[in-house]
Amino acid sequence: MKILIVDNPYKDRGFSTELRNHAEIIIQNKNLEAIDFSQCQLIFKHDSFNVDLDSKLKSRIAFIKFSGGGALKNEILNESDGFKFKASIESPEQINSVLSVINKSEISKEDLEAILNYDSELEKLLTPFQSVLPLDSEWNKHKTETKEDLFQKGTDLRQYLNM
Amino acid sequence: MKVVVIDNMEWDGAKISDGDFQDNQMSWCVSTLRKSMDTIKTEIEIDAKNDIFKDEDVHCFLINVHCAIYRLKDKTNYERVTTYQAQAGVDIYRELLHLYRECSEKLRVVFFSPYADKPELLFHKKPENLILKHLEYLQVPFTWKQVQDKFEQYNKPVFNNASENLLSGYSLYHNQHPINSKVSTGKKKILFIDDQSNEWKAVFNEMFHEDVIEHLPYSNQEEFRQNLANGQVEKNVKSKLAQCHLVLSDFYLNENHDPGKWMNRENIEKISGFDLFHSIRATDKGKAIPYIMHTSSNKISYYKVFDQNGVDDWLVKDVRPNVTSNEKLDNYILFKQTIESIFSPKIYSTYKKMQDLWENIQKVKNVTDVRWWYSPQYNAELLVPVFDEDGYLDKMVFAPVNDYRSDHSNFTKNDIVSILESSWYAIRRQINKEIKYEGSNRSKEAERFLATSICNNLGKIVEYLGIKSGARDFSYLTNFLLQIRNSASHSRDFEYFELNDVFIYLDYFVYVLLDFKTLKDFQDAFKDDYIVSKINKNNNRREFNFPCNLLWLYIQFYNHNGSKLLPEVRKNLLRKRIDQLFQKALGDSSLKMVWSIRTNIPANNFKIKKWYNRTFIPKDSVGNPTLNENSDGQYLKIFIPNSWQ
Repeated sequence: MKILIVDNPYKDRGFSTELRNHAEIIIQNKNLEAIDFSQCQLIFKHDSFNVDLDSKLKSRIAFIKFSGGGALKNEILNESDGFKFKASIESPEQINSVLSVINKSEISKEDLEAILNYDSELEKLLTPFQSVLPLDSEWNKHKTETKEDLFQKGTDLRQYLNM
Repeated sequence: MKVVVIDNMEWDGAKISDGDFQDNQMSWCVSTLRKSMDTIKTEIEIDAKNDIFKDEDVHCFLINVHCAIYRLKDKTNYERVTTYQAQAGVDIYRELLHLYRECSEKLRVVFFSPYADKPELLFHKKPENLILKHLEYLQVPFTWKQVQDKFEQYNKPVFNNASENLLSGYSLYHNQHPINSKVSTGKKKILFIDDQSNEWKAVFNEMFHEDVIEHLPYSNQEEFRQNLANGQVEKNVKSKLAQCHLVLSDFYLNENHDPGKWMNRENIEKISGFDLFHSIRATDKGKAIPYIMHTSSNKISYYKVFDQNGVDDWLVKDVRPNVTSNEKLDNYILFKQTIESIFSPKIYSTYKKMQDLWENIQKVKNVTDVRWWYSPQYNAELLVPVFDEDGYLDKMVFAPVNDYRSDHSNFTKNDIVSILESSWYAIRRQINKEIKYEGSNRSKEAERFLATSICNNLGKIVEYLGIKSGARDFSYLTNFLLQIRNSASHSRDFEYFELNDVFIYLDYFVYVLLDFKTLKDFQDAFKDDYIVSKINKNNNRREFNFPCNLLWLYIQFYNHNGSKLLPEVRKNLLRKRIDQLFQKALGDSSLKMVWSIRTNIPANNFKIKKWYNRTFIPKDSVGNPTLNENSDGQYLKIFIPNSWQ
């Protein structure tokens, strides 16, 4: 077993067929105890499913909580591996990303980022501008960076975007 | 001009043109730091909309595209739940649209980002944020003077949540399908009726090709509603109907949208959009035009009322500010498919035929001069005109043709018109229905039931006119009109019928009632041989039943001089049906037996020369015969004999 979807059984049909077909099991209340979590690599868990899985999970397992009405359309809160943000699996392309991960022997942080459509490089390039006021007059007064530094970072950002 | 800034950080200490930002009465900052979307919304409403902008005509918001949203993790700690790249500043704009839903013209928004000087890269990363293309944008860093200039010279379109959601959906679709992403109407025009029409202009410019949408000439909601109240909107709509091919109308034209409210049938029918729909349907020009209700409601009971009253379809405006991308995409796909399905050649041509038919039936209804069928025997004494209070001649009683005792029929012109109109309404109910649940076979069967029953009912007009089979003066009319009815009545031909046959039959009925003023005109038009019966040599009686009788009737009618008077558009439908029926009949073994008559009976009995004058060869779309050559090296032809002796 490599991927697990944890949800109430009546929501079974809400998941995309493509994803459901590749998940080896969907946990139902009655057979929770029978699951061998040591074989899981990627888990999707609906937040309405009130079962504490922490004790059963090993640290390397990628664990994605989601909420809303099934089909993985709604917001997903990623709580794994130290980076915390909301994202959503919405498009077929992202489902394909999930499927491409399934066959890997180990799932990395980058794999999850791809699934969640998260660009860590872009986030890094955007971050400096969120702690400095956007006014031209304020760039000279920045505590740690010069105006030239900030201009260079702006150039780096645009170069990255134009790649 | 007052400006409220929405940014990740506080603008305290910032120097702007008139001094410190926080001391300036003209500016205010809503920082999103450690705030949830609910908190941000509350601050914007209470501090900005109701306080800062309290007495302002325009409300200016400068928004960081990359605002982050937080949530309370426990009692004191917040955590950021959106990334900077998630462009949550646009989500805040959507909440602004919701907050300003009743006064969107007041709202002015300028976004800023360290991205390039044009926002294309922003919505390239997030296609659902195409709105950034349509609003003002500043690249970081900028001066406060640039901010003021942007707001003072502001000339950007207005939106509401529903239009912005649809724009997002279009952009997401375009991102996946760059070709044919727009809604295709085949150059046909849509009349758009909405009290917030301006909020849709920029969106429709993206979604439709040029000059597809016809807007009403009102600059804002207030002006629209004033004109709705004094009847000008209705007049304006009616004057534009003839140039448009579909009406897309808001349901709540004069009422504020209230998705939480439930209405009973009586209240639904009082809503302004429904009222306008009724007044348009009551006109001859608006009788068949496809009509789509565009509404924020998604209540099934409302749609049931729409459907029962002849609204052709409905599209839901998604007015929620926090719709997921997938929902926006799905809504756009639904919008596109709904419009395009109505403009598909098959369905739209049906609407067009229905409109033409209705107008012609009304001509029959309104004709005031004496027609051949009022008194076919030209006996003035048999005419019994009945005038209504206005002196309108709509109660003409006619004498049955074969009523040699000169007893007046009890039937009037109105009875005939009633059958024609009822036939029209019966077809109207059938258009654009979801019939998938019936299955393809049952669906065809249901269409045949409808088609044959309408043809049978149209046959009553022949009875009303008193024309009986074999009546000498009306043999041509009798043959064609009665035999279509007969074909519709019997199992042998049942399987060949479809709604298009009703169109041909109904159209021809209206044609013979309307286009010939006197019996002589009519007889002259149809004086040539027009025989659809054959003589059984064994008992010397006429036989009318051929295999695929409908095909023979049509071929002969098509070849006949009288039909040559038909307008080309009517003949085209006839021709198309002959082609279809012929292809179908090719597989009918009993029809092949009829062909074999040609070779089994001595040629001189068939007046072959005349046959050739009446030859019809079905051809394909480029004009090539659809029949194969026979063993004689000639195209196999269907010969229409003068008689079948």
